[in-house]
Amino acid sequence: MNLRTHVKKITNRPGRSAIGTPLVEKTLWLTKMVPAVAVFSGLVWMGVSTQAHTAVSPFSSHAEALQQCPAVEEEIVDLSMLAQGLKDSKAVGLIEKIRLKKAIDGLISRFSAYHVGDRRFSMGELQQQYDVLLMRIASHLQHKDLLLHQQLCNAWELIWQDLENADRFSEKFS
Amino acid sequence: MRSGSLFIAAVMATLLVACEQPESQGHEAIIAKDLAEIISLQDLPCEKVLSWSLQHRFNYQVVCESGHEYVVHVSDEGHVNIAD
Repeated sequence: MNLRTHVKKITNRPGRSAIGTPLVEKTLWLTKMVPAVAVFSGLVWMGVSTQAHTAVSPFSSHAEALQQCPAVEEEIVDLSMLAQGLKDSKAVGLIEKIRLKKAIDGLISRFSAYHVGDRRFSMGELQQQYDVLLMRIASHLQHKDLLLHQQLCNAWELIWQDLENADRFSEKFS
Repeated sequence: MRSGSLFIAAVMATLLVACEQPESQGHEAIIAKDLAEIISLQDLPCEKVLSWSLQHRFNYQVVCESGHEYVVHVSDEGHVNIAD
């Protein structure tokens, strides 16, 4: 017998008006409050869990930086264009160019492995590796090759989407 | 003659670079190495990164072996800035 049936049985007893007695009023109040409390608890739990997720995962939100990249006429649209730009840039020395090329190739091979099922690195870790490599490249360019630096700033998220998405990755790198 | 010297220099540089950073490196080491280079590119002392932590995307807290601590982050314009 559930609570509502029990209350109905009490109120339906002949010769007795249960409504108005303190016990029944409390019981009715409880039946109304239980769903409200459940909904409120759910909302609170959802709020807490969202807050915890935001605090734990740095990858959940879109890039907070890079919101004011200067506009450029010629945009870089993929990693091979960035690599070519680095190759042609006078801001980076020969040895550094070779080291950066090797680092880019290494990153691509790690993404390639990920997209065929190798989970040595998680996608979150690969995003950090990508970001830090681009930070390294940006550090080389930001005072010496402003155009390429601006192009890099604009292409940062675009290239990331190519790497992250399996279909786009295979389209670009296979 | 000059192009020959350049070719030899390029081959030597390639061999030199090929010998470093084996692909077997783990995630922590990959990030640490890049962060050390980012810091040293701004003429700040940090030969080796002892530990690092990600505060949020584009913002890293770094402790160098020398004891120096830095916050490495990317600005809205894509500049890499380092704060002590």
